[in-house]
Amino acid sequence: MEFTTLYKERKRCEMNDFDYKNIVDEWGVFIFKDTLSKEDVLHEMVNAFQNHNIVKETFEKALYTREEVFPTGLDFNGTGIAIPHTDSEHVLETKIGIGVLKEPINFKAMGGEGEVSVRIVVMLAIADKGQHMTLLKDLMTGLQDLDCIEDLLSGNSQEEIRDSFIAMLEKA
Amino acid sequence: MKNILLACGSGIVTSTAVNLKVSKILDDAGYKGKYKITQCKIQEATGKSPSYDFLIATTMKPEGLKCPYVNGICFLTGMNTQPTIDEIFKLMEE
Repeated sequence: MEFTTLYKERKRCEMNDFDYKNIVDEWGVFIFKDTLSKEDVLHEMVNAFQNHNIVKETFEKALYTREEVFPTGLDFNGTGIAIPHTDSEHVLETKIGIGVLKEPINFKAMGGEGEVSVRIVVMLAIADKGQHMTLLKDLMTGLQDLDCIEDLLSGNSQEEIRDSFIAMLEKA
Repeated sequence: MKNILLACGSGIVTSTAVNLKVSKILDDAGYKGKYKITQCKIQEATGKSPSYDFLIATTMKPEGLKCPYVNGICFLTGMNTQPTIDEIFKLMEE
């Protein structure tokens, strides 16, 4: 009985994890052309999540607090990428938002040493602990691929960037 | 059997990514079945640390930690991982 349950659960997870088209939506893709503050960028991305009922109202505050205490700026082979996120209790549905910044913004570095000049913001809404192992692995693997990063940075439309991002996750 | 504690701010997002990388590195190096990884929130790490052999974290070293600390951020970015891998292998042999 236990084995069957586990097997079914695993199958279900695999199916969910590999359906990246449902996890990245065009409305969740942003191209920020102007010089903006970190707060402006995060707010706009959170707003999209809220408008599409992806996160609870508590998500925004929790995300800011989290970013302050445990910053998420990372240097991937010379490209600054921030992956703001917070606990799944604030999330209703799993989605990934992506913001490409034409003008870089400084984020605090993960691990608390200095700042990272960020070109890409990947905002994670993870609804269910433990179900997205593959998703997180693919995301981190994909972001290490220089060609994929270049495709994201040079995307000219939300559609192009969404396609590149999904291709990156599927390839990883 | 080494008991490895793996922590990040949420205990789920970055620690999961690091868990998968570290498990693969350890398995490939022949440590399969010789370690157990437990993920937690960094706030819980100090309290749990006396029962673990070492902590890998994507945050700064928490205060009052009672076991060795390894910074695992390189496993997220894939940059300059070898020194950290060597550090982990050394702790596995202690």
